[in-house]
Amino acid sequence: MTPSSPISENYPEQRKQTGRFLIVLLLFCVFAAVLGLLNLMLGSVSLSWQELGQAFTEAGRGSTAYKILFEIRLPRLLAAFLLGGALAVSGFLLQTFFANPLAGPFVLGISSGAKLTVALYMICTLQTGFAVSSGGMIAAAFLGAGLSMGFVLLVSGRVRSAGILIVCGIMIGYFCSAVTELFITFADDSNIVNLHSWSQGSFSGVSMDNIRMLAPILLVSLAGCILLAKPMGAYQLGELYAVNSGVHVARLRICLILLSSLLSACVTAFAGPVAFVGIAVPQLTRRLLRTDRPIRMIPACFLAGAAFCLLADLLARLLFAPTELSISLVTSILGAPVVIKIMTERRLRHA
Amino acid sequence: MRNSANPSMPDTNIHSGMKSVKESAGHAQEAAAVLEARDLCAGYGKKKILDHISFRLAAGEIMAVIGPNGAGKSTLLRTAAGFLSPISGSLYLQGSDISSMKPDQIARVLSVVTTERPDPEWMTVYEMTATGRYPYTGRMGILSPQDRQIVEEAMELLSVSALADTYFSSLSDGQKQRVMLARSIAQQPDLILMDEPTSFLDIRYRLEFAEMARMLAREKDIALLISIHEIDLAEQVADRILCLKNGRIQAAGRPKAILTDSCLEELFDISPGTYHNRYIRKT
Repeated sequence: MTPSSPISENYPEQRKQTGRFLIVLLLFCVFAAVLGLLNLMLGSVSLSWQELGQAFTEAGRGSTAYKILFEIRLPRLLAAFLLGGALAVSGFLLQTFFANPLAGPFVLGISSGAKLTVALYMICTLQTGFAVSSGGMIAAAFLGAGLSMGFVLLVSGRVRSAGILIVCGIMIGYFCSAVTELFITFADDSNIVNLHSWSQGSFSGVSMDNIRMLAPILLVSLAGCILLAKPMGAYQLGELYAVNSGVHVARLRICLILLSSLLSACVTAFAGPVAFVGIAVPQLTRRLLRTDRPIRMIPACFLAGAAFCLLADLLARLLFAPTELSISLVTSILGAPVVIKIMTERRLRHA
Repeated sequence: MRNSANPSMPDTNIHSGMKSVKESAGHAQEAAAVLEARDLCAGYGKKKILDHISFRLAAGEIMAVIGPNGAGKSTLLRTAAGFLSPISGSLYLQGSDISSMKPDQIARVLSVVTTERPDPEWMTVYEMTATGRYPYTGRMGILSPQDRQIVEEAMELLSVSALADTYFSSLSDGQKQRVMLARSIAQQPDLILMDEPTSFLDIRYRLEFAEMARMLAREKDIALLISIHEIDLAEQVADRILCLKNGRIQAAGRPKAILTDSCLEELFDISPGTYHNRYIRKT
């Protein structure tokens, strides 16, 4: 095909879409920054601008504000940011993989699978007197996430119905949660308190050491996702079109499974299962961007998930202070209506 | 409409098992068949569906594959697309064995249009057409100005330029089919495989489809392999007809020679006389 007459038509929607992407991305950044700042300042002890500024200088080292900031609030903020983003991206990968807008690490039971193995790992290591390591937690979570994923894949190979897949995932989730509770019931008293708050979902237990372990893993996974953006785009059209675009579908599927499992495993290892972020955030982002192109969705989902979890964590800490809510409680209350609204509207659009 | 350059050319009737297929003299380059199957057996896993199939498809030629459900029409197209690998025998795409080609090499030569259309949320017609450029873009899939030009030309050719900014999901079935054709053209193929492309279309769009298919073959010299249920449409659109039954080629040749009452009755196992009575065909 030789370029004949130059076609100089304008496609305003194309430019609008790029503009929209940049605006939305900027908006998410601003949200995340503002919420991050609020997360640092507000709490049982409120810090003023001055105290905040001082804590970051040499002089402020050792002050109460410094301790609150660097030992409690900063690791928690980083955890909410990184893990929230990871969860949203994991949800997007799963939605693409199963071509199912309802898929997500929580509904498919992947989070619960990871929760089960992590609980088992923590109980075993604590009982034998070993220290729990970040690496061990992630490995245990990855194993559990992989096992759940395996079951879900078995189901998806047998049934083609998107609804049945989700129901099976939820069942796997219930099953794993029940077994986890069983283990916790028979664990040592001293461990129960820790395990219990973790198994409900909370960013409070994440230390700076955990973050140092987490951050590189998450960033590498995220880079991997972005490298997969192009084949994922072809895969969204269906398997036959993906093959016809020159995609190694089997290889892509394995990569998607590994990456989504790893991302949600990291979250569960340190924050426990966090509900609805994996479904609601990609849905919301897709609507704002008005595109499903992975190259735009992946970075946007990450930032949106991060901002969403920063907000949820802020609410979890402040709403009924000094009582702290579990993170899943807040994300469910915020996320479930979003999912319902979007799903019913989607039905209408297709009717 | 039909290729009438050589009215004296004998119609070829190929039965399964025969290896060589006589090509029409109108296509000068004997060797350069776009697609050639030699003694091809294919199917799912060990289950053989296509049973020793041989045929040749020349550049710019339209071949319609007809036959009862389960005869192997889709299997043939899926094997040709590289989605299934042959059990035995071989398929040649422009002279090279398809099983030795990489997926992206195949993608630059042939494109597919399937029965079930993708249903992406939030994808404009422009974006959908642009997915055809996939085999040509870089690691991140960013379109070059040349890619954009090709996409725009493809939309122009199928008269969907005006819909460029519309969301694909909001289109009618006929419009969607046009866009999927534009997408396959943007892939710059020499061969397009179409699996029952008219299934969901009403009569108006079916006629439109036949026109578009002929236009693509004529103007772009693209070969088309189309599996189709509508006999009348096959007759309108195809240069040659390939009749598949139980995974074997029952007959092949020019539509006039193939689409006789007796041949169709045998192909679809209908009792003699029924076809003509049901579907009154003016001959």
